[in-house]
Amino acid sequence: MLQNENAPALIQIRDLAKEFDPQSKNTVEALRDINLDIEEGKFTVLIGPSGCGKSTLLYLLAGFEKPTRGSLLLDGKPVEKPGPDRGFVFQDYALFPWRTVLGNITFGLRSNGWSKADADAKAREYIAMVKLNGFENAFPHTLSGGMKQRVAIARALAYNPRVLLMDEPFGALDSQTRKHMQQELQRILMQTNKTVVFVTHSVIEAVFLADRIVVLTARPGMVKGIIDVNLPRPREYTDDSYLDIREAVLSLLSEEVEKELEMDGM
Amino acid sequence: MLKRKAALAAIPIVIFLLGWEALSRGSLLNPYLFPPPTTILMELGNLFMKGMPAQSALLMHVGMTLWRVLLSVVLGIVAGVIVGVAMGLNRAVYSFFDPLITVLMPIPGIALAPLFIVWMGFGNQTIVSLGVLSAFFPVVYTTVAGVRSVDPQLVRAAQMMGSRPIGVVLNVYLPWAATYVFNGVKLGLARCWMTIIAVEFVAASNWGMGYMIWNAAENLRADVVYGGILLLIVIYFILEKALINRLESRTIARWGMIRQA
Ligand SMILES: Nc1ncnc2c1ncn2[C@@H]1O[C@H](COP(=O)(O)OP(=O)(O)OP(=O)(O)O)[C@@H](O)[C@H]1O
Ligand SMILES: [Mg+2]
Repeated sequence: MLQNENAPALIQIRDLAKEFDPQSKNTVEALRDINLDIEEGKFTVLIGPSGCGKSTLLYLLAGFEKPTRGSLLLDGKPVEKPGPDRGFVFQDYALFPWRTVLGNITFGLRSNGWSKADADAKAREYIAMVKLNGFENAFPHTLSGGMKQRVAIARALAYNPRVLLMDEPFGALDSQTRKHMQQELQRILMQTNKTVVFVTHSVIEAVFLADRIVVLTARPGMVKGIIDVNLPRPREYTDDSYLDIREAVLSLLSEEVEKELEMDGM
Repeated sequence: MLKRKAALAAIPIVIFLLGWEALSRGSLLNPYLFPPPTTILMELGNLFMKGMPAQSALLMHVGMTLWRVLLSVVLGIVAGVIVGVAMGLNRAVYSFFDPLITVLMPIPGIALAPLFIVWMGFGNQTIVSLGVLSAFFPVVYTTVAGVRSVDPQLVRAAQMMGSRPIGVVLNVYLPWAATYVFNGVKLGLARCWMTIIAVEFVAASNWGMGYMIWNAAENLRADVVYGGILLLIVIYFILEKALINRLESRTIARWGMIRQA
């Protein structure tokens, strides 16, 4: 990868804070003082205890929510609203039930001025990439969870966004399918070289996929620590070279999970 | 299974008709007030042949009513969906229209007929306007509910992919609301049908099933009245099956948004 050491990171997060209902007495401070650089072509995983603000951070990057303080720059420009320079993969797929697999995947292309023929051809490339050949005309409700998430990934990649944002995309899948999807995602990303920000609860998933793992504290979410995972790809589940990385992530995380349990009075 | 159900449902109807036929033929029922069903059918046949081959009187009546109903339902749906979407998306629009609709909706279409006759005279304008109004209200209500219940993740997904606001309305809010709108359309069709037949009693000139029935009653032709009512049942049944059920099975049922009956 051509990574100029001096070039600013693709995503720059500066002194970011997010509070929900800041005026009322039910204010929830979700994120505090987040400073983070996300580099082009890198797979960044956000991990942290439940309710620490992982989704919130991703929603801020997506432009679904606005920061209370601080700034979020993508390619030097502030993130203000959702737009096709980013792709989003939701935990519960968020496929359009009224569109076929092909229709879902062409949506982003058609919304950005592609002709129907070109969009169809491009979508078919991505259908092949996620191995859904033969399901072009199927409606989402006829697909399994794993297949739906493949469609969602293809849909988010097809219009070639700069960044792919993924919020626990495999959280609703059984463990067998989940493992398989992690390997598939690795394979797809080795082909596309996409910048990814990925939220998960699973340390194993984090270490398997990440170039860099950002551990957040219990609410309000702050950056607790950053762990780089410099392991060659493709990675295999049989690799035990990353057991010590798992240990490192777990020890950071477990402190925070305990804090969170205390907060909940458990 | 379905065939058997239909057969079972037919039994009481057949017994009822046979009983009626026998009582009427045996003059236990006054045959002028309760003409036997076979006579009614024959009279419908006569009406069908009347004016043939140029134009069948019966078909003219039926065709005119159908045309009025379809035009009213289509206009009512279009207006209802447009107003409903605007109300569902925008608080101010909602606050403006909601009280008006609450007040106007309970008025039966036929109760407004005298007023509309004063405004627009006898004939199609009055009939269709009242038909549109009766189809409009249920569609507005269900469309608002549908738009408001949209899954926000789907809206976000569309915005993320670069869809513009009008695209989000057409590609997300409307198809999402379809399940709701169809319920409104069913109610709207029923209301519209009743209103149009009733208004035809008073405001139609020469053609329409309502006119046919009213006119027959004035001429003391009970057989034609019964024939007209029979036709109302059959035609409405076909309208609902042919239009709405087919539309449903091609859209929301195919999308997995409802289970098909
Ligand atoms: N729209 C909202 N209004 C008010 N509070 C919110 C809103 N969204 C999130 N929060 C709160 O902000 C905090 C962070 O939520 P968030 O969903 O980002 O956590 P998370 O880390 O993704 O949790 P999980 O791992 O359970 O998905 C939580 O306390 C949550 O209740
Ligand atoms: Mg979350």
